[in-house]
Amino acid sequence: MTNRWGLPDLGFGIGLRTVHFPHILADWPEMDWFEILSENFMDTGGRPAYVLDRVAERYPVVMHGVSMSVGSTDPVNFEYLKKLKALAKRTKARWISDHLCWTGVSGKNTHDLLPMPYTDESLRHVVERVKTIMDYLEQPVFLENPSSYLEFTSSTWTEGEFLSQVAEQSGCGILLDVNNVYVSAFNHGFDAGEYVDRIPADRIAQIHLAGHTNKGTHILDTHSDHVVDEVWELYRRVCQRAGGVATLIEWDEAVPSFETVRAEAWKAKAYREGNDACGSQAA
Amino acid sequence: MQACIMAEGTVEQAIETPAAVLEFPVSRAPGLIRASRTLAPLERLDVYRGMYELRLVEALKVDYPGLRKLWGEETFEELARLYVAAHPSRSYTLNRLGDQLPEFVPQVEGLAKARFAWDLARLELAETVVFDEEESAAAEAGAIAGLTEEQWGRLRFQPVRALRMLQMHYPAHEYMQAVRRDETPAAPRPRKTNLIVYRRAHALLHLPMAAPGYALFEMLAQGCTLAEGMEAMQEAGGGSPKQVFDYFRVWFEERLFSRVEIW
Ligand SMILES: [Fe+2]
Repeated sequence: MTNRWGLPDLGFGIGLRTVHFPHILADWPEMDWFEILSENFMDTGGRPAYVLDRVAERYPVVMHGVSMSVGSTDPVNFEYLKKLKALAKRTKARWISDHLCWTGVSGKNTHDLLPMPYTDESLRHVVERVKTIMDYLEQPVFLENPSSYLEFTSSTWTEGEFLSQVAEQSGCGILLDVNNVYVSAFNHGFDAGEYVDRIPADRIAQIHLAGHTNKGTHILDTHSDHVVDEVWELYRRVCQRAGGVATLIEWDEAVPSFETVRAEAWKAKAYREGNDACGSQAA
Repeated sequence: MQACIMAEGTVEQAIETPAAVLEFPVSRAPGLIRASRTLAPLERLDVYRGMYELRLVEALKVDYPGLRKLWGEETFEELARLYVAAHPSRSYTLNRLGDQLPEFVPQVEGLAKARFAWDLARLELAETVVFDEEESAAAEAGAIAGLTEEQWGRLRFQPVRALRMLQMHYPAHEYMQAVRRDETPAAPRPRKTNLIVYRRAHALLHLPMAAPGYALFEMLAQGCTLAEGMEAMQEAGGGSPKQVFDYFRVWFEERLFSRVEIW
C-alpha cells in the first residue's frame, strides 16, 4: 500500500540521536526506520556522517529539518536546499519534512519554529514557496504543524484549516504531530480532537508523537518524556481515519536508552493495531 | 510584515527599541497577539524570547566545554549571552555559531585567566572544525619507500582535511584532556606549545610537537617541498636525519597526510 505520493507506510520509527550511535552500530537493533534532523548532518564529514551512512545502508531514512522557513519573507534559501538535496541523495531519504513556520528574516536566524498569522495573504505566500521548494528538491515535502505559544489577532484561518489549504494548493503532505496539536490546543484553548478530525486524511503523510513539559500556564514542546495518555488517544483517533501512516517517536531532551524510546514506537504500533498494550484505555 | 528584532532585556523593553518602533508603534504591539486564558500577549511573546537565548547559549555550551569548566557555568553563560547579542546567528546551522568566540574573549573586560582562556577557546574551536571536516583517505608510508635522496627533497605532502595547527602560550590540550576525563584541572602555567589537532577513526586527537618538527610540518602543510621544509626546520632549532625519520614515522602512523607527490 502506498499513499498519494507513491510512498509506503514505513511503520514505526524513532529519531536517530547521537547517544544511541554506539548501540546502533554495535547491535543493529530491530527498527522499522529512522528520522534524522537534517541540519545535524548537512555540514559534517566526521563521525555523524559516517554513522548516518551505515544506518542508511540498513534502514529506511527520512529527513526532518527546521530551516526551510516556508513562512519567511526572505528569498528561498537555495544554498540550504542544495545541501538538503545532496543529503537526501546520499541517504536515499524517502521524503523530506519541515514545519509550517518561519525561522528568521533579513538573514538573521532565531533557530525557532516561529508561528505565522494565518491569512489569505500568508497562505498564497506559503503555497508559492512550497511549490518552488518541491520543484527544486524533486521530492515530496511534508509540512508539520508546529507547537506554538502565541496566536496572531490577524489570523482568519485556524491552523488546521490553513495547513490543509497549504497541502491542497501546493501538493505537499502533512506531517501531523499529534503532540503538537495537544500542546497548541492547551496553549490556545481549541479542541484537539476537532483539529485532527478536520485534517484531510489522505494528506496525512507522516505522524509525530512526543512528550512535553507542562508549565502550568502553558505547555512547552520539549520532546523530553513519554507520550501522555491524552496524546495516545488522539493518535488512535487519527489512525482510525488515516489508517497506516508512518509514525515516529521524537525524544530530544534527557534521551533515555534506545530500548525505552523504541518501546514507545512499539506502543504506537499496538495503539494503531487497536490492541492497547497497557490495557488502561478503552478502545 | 516580518522582522527579527534583537534586543537585550525584556520583551517590554525590546518593543520600545528604535528598531521595533520602526516596525510598529509600541501601543499596537500587544494588540497583534491574542491573549490566552493564562498569559497576556507580551507574556506569550516572552516564551519565545526565553527559548531563543537558551537555545543559542546551549549550542555554545556544547562547543566550549573547556571554557565552561574554567569559568564555571554561570560566568560562561554570561559570556555566551554577551557573545550571542554581539554575534546573532545568520546561518541555518548552529554548528558554526561559536566561530568568533576566540576573538571575542579578549574583548571582554574582567574575565579571569583571560590569556589562557584565549588559547583554550582557539583549541576548542579547532576541535569543532576538525570534528566536522570532510573525511580524506590517508596516504600510506609505502608512498615514500625506495626513493633516492634527490627525490626525497622534491616530495610534497598534503595533510588530511580533518587537521588544524595551533601555536599556544599554554598547554591547553592537557587541560582539555583532563576535562574530558571529567576532572576539574587547575589552569596550567604558561608553556609554549605547538599542537596538531586531528581526527583518526573519528576520534579527536592532539599531537604536541617540538618547534623544529612543527616548523617542518607547517611548511609542508603550506605546499612546500621537503627540502624547503628542512630549511625551515634548521632555522627553528635543527634536527638530525634520524629525527626527521622519526617525525615521518609518527606522522604516517597517525595518518596525517592524504597525498604525497614528487614535485
Ligand atoms: Fe514533531
